[in-house]
Amino acid sequence: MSPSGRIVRPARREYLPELVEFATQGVRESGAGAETLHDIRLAVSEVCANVVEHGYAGEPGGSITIETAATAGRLVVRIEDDAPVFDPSLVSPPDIGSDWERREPGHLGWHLVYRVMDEVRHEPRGERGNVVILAKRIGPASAPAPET
Amino acid sequence: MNASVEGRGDVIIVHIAGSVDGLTAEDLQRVFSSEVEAGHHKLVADFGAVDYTSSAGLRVLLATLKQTRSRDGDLRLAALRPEVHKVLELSGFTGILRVFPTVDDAVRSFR
Repeated sequence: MSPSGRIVRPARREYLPELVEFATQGVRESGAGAETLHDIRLAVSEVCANVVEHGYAGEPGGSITIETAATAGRLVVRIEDDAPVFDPSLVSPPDIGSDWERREPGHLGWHLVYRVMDEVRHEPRGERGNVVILAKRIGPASAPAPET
Repeated sequence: MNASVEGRGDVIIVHIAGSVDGLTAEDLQRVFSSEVEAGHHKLVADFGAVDYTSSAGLRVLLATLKQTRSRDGDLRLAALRPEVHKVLELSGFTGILRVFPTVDDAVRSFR
């Protein structure tokens, strides 16, 4: 797996595939299982989509920076923006228990990010800007899941 | 993402291939909505060739589930890959959507 890398792209929907592709490239090359790859793709995609849709919310000129670092079977993805400060740990949990008639689709994105990654951390960059750090153990495809 | 439609009696199968995410979810929603508006309320979503879904895809499934059930129909899922099934499970969708191992099983469930 590549030890590290960095990419900066405009915070627009059409750049999301490239950002996600960059963040998951090393995972694919490492031979990690499909579930691990899906989890990381999902988390990076959800964070970046939230930055575009809710962070900048149409404000032009914003960018997203992604840095990856892999050491000792662990991938760390750092996602940085210059949007207004937003702490995802304050997002209300989604409704996942109601019957279909009452079920609302909101807040699923951050819920999934927290569920599929081993670590999710948010750091404000000042009056504006956010850093979200995602980390996950990267095992080979045949490795058993760690006990929790 | 590509979606093609196949009719088997009064059941419509939507064969989906690729990724269902923020860029493609609207296209999939259009396919489902078009079928519902045409009076087809028994839908099977064939996920056999779907390698990825995000929360945007889940929103489409929930909206279509409500559209079909409110018309005495249903949206049933078939052939989910384990990683996609996990996303539905984590989101509580396996408790409200009926999921079948194969498309044939899902179609038969409407009989």
